[in-house]
Amino acid sequence: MNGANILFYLLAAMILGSGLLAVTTRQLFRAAIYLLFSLIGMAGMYFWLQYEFIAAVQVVVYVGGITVLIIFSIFLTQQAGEKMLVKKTGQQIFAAIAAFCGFALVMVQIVQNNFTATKNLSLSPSVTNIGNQMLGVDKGGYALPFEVVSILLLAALIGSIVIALRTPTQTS
Amino acid sequence: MNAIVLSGIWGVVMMFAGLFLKSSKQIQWTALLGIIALLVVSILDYQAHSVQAQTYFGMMTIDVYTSWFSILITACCAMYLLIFHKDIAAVGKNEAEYFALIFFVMCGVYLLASYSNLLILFLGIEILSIPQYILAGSDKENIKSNEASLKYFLMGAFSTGLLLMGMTLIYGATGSFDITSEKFVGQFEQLSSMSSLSFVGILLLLISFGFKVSAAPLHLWTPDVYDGSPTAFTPFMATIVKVSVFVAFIRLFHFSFGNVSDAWQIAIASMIVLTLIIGNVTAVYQQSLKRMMAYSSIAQAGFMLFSIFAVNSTLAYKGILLYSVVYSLASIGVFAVIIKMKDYTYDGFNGLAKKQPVLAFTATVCLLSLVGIPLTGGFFAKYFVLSAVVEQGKYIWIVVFAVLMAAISAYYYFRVIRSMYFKTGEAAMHTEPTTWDKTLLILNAMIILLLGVLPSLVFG
Amino acid sequence: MQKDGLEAIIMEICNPIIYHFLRSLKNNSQTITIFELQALFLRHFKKMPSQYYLFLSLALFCIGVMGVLMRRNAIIILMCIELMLNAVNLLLVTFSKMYNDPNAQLFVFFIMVVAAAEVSIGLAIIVMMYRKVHSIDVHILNRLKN
Repeated sequence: MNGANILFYLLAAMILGSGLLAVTTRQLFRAAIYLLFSLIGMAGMYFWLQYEFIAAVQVVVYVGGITVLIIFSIFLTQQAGEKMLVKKTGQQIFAAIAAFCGFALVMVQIVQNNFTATKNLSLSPSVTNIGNQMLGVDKGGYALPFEVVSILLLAALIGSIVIALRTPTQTS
Repeated sequence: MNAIVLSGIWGVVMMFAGLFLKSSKQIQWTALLGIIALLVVSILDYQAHSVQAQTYFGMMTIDVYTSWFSILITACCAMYLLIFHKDIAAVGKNEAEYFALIFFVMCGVYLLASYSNLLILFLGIEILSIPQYILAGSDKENIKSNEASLKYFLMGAFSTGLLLMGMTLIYGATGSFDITSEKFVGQFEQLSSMSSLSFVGILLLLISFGFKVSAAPLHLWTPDVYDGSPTAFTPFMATIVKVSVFVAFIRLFHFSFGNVSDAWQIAIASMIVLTLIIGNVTAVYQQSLKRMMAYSSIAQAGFMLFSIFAVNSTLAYKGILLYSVVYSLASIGVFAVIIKMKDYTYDGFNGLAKKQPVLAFTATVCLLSLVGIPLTGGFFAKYFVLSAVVEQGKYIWIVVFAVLMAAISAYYYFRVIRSMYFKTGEAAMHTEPTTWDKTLLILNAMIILLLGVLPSLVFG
Repeated sequence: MQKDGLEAIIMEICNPIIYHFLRSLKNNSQTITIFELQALFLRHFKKMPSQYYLFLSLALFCIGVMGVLMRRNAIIILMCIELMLNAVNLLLVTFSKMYNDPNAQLFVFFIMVVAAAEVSIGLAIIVMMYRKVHSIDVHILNRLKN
């Protein structure tokens, strides 16, 4: 047990613990905060894996963007302290068992699977490399998905406006 | 490739059309112009790629099959827009945005037809889904439409999560996202070389696929969503989108996972049996025609699943092409009649034949085609997918079962015909069809009848 | 290459982050190159088998799935879906590290973009729904059925 392991276990406990709390707590606002901690733990894990740029994007997009968006909509739709109704215990047990069985199944497969090491040269995940590949137009470049994802964002933008815009009859 | 670019650009054009064009008529004409241009461009694409396949960025491979499918699906979409453009504009006051979203969906359709990388499959499915959540909820005053939108969104997002997990596990087993790469092909060469990790991945992909095409037992969202969405958008979701998801997954399952079909065929077989039973039996009990069509689309998905099931069969791809065209046109034809009515229940259709003989006739042709009566396109569509199963030689009993289920489906389709022709009633109309509408509906019915005689027209 | 005592201890006991920090302090150091750092990291990565990362991300994914099946609140379900997507991201990064393949890393960015788009759409739908029904309980939808 050295420092590296300890850090990993701490981060993993943070991710899993707050993730579990986020899905089980009965207060909506608390769930959002637990989600926030889980996502921060995830960013820490990326740092530890030396994917600094992904870690930074994780903090900006998930922690700074998505969670704040969720908290906003909680305030728009609910009183913060209100307790939520839960499903019947039978359904809850069923859900837990189903999730656990799926987990066990996949885990058994992964333990049995022997991953073949590749002889790729290690490529540093620097921002320069990411940018070059993201906009590369040769084989293996990601220019096409980059453009496609921009169309997707445009569609989502239009859609959100169409959906969220109040129609005049609603206000009157 | 040009079709993808044009559909993206035309979505933006429609957005600006909503800003600058004041009258709704002009916006509709812009959309129709766009779909016609898209049709022309996809035909040009087909001519360009008819000699040899071309790969773009190692992400997409456009060959003669995919570009031919693009033409067919664009033609179906053109038919849909021609028939429904007034109804789409009547849904709400953001009509330009609805057309823009439809063009973005078309972009996703082309991507799904020609991807060769799992990333493009993922993005294509997302571009297909996200506009649909909006279109389902576009009738904001109607609570059922809101419900449809929320339900569709939650189910769709969940299945996206499963899809991504499946892709990641397959990546973990193969080490590549490119389905044409050596590593990927080598992994799925034979059953013994496939690792168990990719088996779980394929299973997750199948579950997510079942969600998207509403195959039982993952169909639970379908009736509510199709029933709650505005009637102008339901045929779009039930036909063009669903069919292109089928074509996308056939590409993956036949060309990549074809050699390991023993691993997943049993899952598809059980899906088919459940889908056919649930879709057909539940449809019998429906009172609303729109809801009946939702269940019928589940049942028809069961038949389309046969084309995925029949791996290593030359007829499977022909079958799905014919099935998608015929099913799309027939559903569009039926919905075009439904949307003209005031009352969507069976009783609302009583006496339609006397009042509107053209509508009743075209609806009858479409319904007969959905049953699969000879001389309509539906017969050959069902014939090809079922004979594909016979050709590959395993699980023949499913074919017998499917024929039995088609007989059950005749009951609820014929019930509509009986209401229209043999019962007397008011058949109150919501909007009176114009001569233009009638011409289009007759054209639609004629195409279905023509495909019933010459099915080889869609094989290219 | 021989390292002085303190550095060796830090390398042994602590993780690459602190070592990273140390490296940034001695700016023009010739003794530690980026390759050494990577080798150092790989050693630590081997110490912590990649199975652990797979375990972590699969556990998180299953927590997300469990939440989706268990909860009735639409926003909570949305949050659970976010957890699922995050688990996929972590898995992809682990595979990327394992295979030294930058493709998986780029996939992560696309997932993040799509997740952001999906959340914005979903919250817009939920808010629209709330205006109408004044509830975001998924079960209320079933009661509305005719």
